[in-house]
Amino acid sequence: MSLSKRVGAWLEKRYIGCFLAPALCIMGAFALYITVALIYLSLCSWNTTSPAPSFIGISNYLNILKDTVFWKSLGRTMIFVVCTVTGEIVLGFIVAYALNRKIRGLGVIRTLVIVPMAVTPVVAAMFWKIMYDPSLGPINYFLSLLGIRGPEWLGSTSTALISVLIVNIWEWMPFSFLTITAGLNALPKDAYEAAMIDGATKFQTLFKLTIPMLKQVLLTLILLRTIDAMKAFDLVFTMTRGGPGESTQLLPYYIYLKGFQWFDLGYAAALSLVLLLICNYGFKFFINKTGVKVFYD
Amino acid sequence: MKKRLVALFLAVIFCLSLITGCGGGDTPGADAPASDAPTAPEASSEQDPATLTEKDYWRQCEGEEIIFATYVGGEADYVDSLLSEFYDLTGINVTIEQYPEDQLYQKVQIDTVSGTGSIDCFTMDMMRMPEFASSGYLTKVQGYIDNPQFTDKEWYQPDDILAGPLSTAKYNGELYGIPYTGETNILMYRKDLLEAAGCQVPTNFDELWDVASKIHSKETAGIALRGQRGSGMNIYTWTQFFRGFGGEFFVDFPNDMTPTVNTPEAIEATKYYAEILQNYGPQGVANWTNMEVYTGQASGKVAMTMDANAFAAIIEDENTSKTRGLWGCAMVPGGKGGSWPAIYSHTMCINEFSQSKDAAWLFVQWVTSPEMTLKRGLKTGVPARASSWEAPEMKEQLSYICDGTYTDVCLESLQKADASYRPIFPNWNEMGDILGIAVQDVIAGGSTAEEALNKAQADIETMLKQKGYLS
Repeated sequence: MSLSKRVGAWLEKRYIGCFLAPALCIMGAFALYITVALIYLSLCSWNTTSPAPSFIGISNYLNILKDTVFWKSLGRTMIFVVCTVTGEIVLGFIVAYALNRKIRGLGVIRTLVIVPMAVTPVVAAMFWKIMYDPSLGPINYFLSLLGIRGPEWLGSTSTALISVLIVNIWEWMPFSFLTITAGLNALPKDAYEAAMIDGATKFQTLFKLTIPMLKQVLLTLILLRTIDAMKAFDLVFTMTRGGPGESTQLLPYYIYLKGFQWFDLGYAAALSLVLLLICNYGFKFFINKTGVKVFYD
Repeated sequence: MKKRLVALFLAVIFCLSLITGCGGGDTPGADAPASDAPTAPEASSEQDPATLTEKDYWRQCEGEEIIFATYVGGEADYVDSLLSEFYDLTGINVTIEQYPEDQLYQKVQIDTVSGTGSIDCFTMDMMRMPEFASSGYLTKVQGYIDNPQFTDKEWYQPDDILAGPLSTAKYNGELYGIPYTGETNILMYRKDLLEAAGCQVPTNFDELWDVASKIHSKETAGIALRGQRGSGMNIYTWTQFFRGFGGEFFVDFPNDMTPTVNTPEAIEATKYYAEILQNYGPQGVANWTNMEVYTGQASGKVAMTMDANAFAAIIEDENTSKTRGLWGCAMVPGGKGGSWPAIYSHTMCINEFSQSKDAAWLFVQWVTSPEMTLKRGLKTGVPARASSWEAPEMKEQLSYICDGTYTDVCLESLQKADASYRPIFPNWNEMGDILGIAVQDVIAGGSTAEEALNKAQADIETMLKQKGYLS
């Protein structure tokens, strides 16, 4: 057998491996290596006073357990996630349901509804920061026309988190709207016809038919939006920097402060890993409990 | 068979292109405009090279080449445009490398840690001085100043360098560089409003409160100070009150690093800071940064502030300010702890590992000389020498600011300012940020000064213990 034939035969047997190799290399470099490096870094002390990472075991994790700022930030993140995901999906559903009929100018209305999602988050945050401004912003101006003295929005510890929540819901409601609209359009028509013949009211059709049939779509939406809300950073960074006080300091912003402002890189790595584990196990639990089909295996 | 081989070949090519695509192109700031800098304006004719070339020491490093790394900006461009004068004087070839500040210190850090010494001299933010000086990366320059072979004291006038900026170039009593710029805080007030209310310029915190209450109106807030949290934000201006009320950051910095940020003085200062803003400040001031403060001043929404002297040029500028011509300035008011103007400066340092330290010193000396400091100061407005602030050209150029009182106030403030305004140590940023959270929380009404500062004290103690400052 000539050499070229032998090489050919070898490739014949192992071509799958050859084709996978580039992708595996890239995965290895950009996912596996980074994760392993993160785990190692989380076991180290690495800050401005120590130029190289030094191994300190699990003391970063022990410090996290005692870190009140971490627990408060985590609690705030949970409140933020629950409120924003609920708000987005409920509002998205209402709008999608209301627009799921033949009306004139539907295309234009749908496009307008989607606009907030198309705006870059930082731009949206800058824009809302001006809207919220107590002395220059339009919101308090219109409130004053009604004789109401508007709150300080981002300037007060009691309203700052709600103000950020409103912007996040405004920004991501269109995503729920789009997904739910697609889901509504894909629903089988014959079930509705049967319901109509049986004399079901609109209310009954909605709760007994539409929502149960949309279950998979809604659960997937909850999963996707929760993942995104867990790592909310851009709005907080641009609008409040976590303030006033710590009232809008979510966990990702705390990790950013620790890692990139205070250069406590080992501790920040441990915090990120904790966030990752919370997400991972939270979602596994969610998927097992609800049976949402994320992976088709 | 053949098809598979071709596909495999393509896959390899794809992979290789990805790998090469990832490398290279990582030279931030390499596109800094070095060659097309504006040529020296009218100032170049003022120099009299004859008086300089007489000094025989100027040419002792002829033919050497040095690199000066600094932050991107008009000042670096301006020095660059005058480099031919330095070359004619000394025969030393200087290359200026400009980087954004963060990259500059990374670059310098890599260069000094590895000991290569490819950057001979650089500018350094005052807050980073101790980190580099304590690691032995910076050359002590007092020896150069005292050696007549390298410095003609009569011409260089080292005593003319302002005390405030000079204190930022020192570490443990040793001088590690020469101030390149100097900025400070001043009190800026609306003369017309003070006059209408029949008030005198406040000199202490009681008078400040009194004036703020009298000039406060619905349209114009009596006073505005930074509220946004951050060691370089609200803490930069809050420290004026904290120190002014007699507060200290530590029991005995740097020997005993037990924080003292919840003492009665600290609580009193924070209460004052928050309450004067709540009562006579603009709405939403808890989120105000330096930008909102000077924009508020320029648009007529703010009547008084104690902030960076650089604001004065903005609020008296006819292109940017609605309130130009209405401002007065004075030293920042103080309390029982004295008056504490803030200080911020850059220092020009020489790399300990440089191969051309002598040439680098000649360059540092030339750039920070009275003549060059004045020329640079005319461009930037932040010279670090008394003679520059007193020079008729400077006074003339800045006469439009606060009726010409600006230069005298800045000079007095820079003489009085001290590097100990904020404690300079590697973890100050984190400590300042923790304090900033507390101060902003009080302004926004989230908690009382006592609660917020007790929490800050505990958080700072935990942090300092973790970092090994406290046992």
